[in-house]
Amino acid sequence: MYILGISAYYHDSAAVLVKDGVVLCAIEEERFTRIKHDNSFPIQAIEWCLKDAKITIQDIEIISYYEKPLLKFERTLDMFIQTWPKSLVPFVRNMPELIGEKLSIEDGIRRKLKYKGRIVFTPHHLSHAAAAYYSSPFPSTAILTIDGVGEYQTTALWKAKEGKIECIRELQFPHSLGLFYSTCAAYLGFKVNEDEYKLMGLAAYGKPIYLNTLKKAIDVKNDGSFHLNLAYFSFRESTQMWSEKLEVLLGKPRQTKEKITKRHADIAKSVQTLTESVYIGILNHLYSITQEKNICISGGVALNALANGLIHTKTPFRESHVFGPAGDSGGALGSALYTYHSQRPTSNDHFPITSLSLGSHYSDSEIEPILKKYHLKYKKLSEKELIHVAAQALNEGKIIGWLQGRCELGPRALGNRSILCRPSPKSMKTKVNVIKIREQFRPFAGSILQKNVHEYFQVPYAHYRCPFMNYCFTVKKEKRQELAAIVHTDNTCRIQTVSKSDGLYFQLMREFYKLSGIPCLLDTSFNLKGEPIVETPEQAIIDFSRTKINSLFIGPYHVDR
Amino acid sequence: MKKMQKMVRVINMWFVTVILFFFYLLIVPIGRLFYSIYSLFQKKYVSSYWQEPDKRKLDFDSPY
Repeated sequence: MYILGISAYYHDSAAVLVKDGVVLCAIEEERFTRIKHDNSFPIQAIEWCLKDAKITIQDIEIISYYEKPLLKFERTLDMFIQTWPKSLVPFVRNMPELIGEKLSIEDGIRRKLKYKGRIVFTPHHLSHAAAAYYSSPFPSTAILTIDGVGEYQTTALWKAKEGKIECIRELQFPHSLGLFYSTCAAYLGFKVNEDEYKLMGLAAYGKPIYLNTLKKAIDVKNDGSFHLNLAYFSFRESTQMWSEKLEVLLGKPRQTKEKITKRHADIAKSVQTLTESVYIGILNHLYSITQEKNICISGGVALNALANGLIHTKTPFRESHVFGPAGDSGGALGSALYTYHSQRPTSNDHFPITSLSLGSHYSDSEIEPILKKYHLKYKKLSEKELIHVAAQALNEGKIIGWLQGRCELGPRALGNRSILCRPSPKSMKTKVNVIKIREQFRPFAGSILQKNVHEYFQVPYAHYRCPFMNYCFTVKKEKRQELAAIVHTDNTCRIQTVSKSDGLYFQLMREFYKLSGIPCLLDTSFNLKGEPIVETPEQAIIDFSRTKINSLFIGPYHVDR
Repeated sequence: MKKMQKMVRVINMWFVTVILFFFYLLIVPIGRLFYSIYSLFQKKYVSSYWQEPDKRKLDFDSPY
């Protein structure tokens, strides 16, 4: 049974193809259109998935859409009515778009894909919950889904057992931790739904001196539930997400190009601290009502790696699984998997996802013509040679572009579409920030061999596994010099554990370890500012030629300057 | 006569509209005041904001 999962029209459109409960392939539309977080209907992603699986649209038994569009429309109308007449301007601006393509999703799908089969709609948070649960290795677990907003839900608590998922409690719009965080990110001059992680990175430079002040904006109960004080927020009725009252509370908001000051860092730290305490409070409450030892988490707020790093120290959960593509692209995957399992209610099928390398890949015969087109100096190497040359380059302090295998689903590069370099000295961080045209305050993540992770990081136990780069842990004091380029100001680092199942990337890291004695690399996504992660060899070559990356490894080809 | 009736109907319509508008101008701030008081009450006396989820059977095929 082929099921096609789709997310579209808000952010991170994606297509996912599932066959008999197993994810065959998945990719975001942005990789084709080159528009970051592209929200258009993922026609190219869908066409690619069908081509990759060598099937046609007629072979798809069910198309599964990741939310309930009419319910979402109802909530939007509710929002306009509640804030009338202030909402007049956004109402007039948004209604044409809302009553257009976004309402007639089914017709749109049938028309664009020439599809006559069944189309189903899974609620937004259920799609997130399913993505987290069915990708996890847990037969039984508690689940938290937490984001800006789906239809009405902003936060939902679930339990799952033997393939069945049940919602226990929820919070509804406008009371949203995701919107609280986004509002504060916008207040600090960062882009909403795009740059929230910059607030997270900035937090390390500040102190939480605004924490008590910020508590006026959000009422948090002992059981983790919360309500926003809507007097401080105007995201329901205005394009500006915060009200004047928040400016009175925190001072002048930061303009986009304005220099970042200590005050901004202090606000960021206060926001991050408050968010973490709410997040942990919710998790503790979830544990108290489910008594489950496992926790799965999904939704945009689950991308907050600093908060995730606290799960094992601040909650009783023993094992956690934060789904890698925790945003809406993961919703497409969850929708497809939930649909599959709902068709097999008595089945106990469970196929954990251990790798997010689900996207496009290129053969030697596709890569070489591109290299010739750009008149590049290149050499074709055997796998062993490739590993050795790349590891050697890394050990010499070079920065390399690495495009191998299938591209990853989600916002993280996990060793297939990466810019890599050694994790020290500290100047490597500056160099890579310059290459990627990023702000210097932003940290980089690291990949580490799983068998060595407990030697370098304060992880819950030896050989701890976090393969999707969505946890931050404190770097052990004696290792901070060795990892100077990836240790953030607060001594944490976002990490990805790499094991044998990661194929070529694991071999590269192992070879680098042999040469340098360091089982770790600085791993950042292969893209420049404002771009999605590179998808094709040609895009990688263009970025290579525009920057000071020292050499490029695409498939078996080594490209040097 | 018919013209007169039409004119009266138009005047009535405008009259009602204006009355409703002033009524709305009065009601909305009163409504918001009650909501603020209710929110303060919630903040002080309510121990949990968690809600029961919608228990209705999920209709897969519906976009609603």
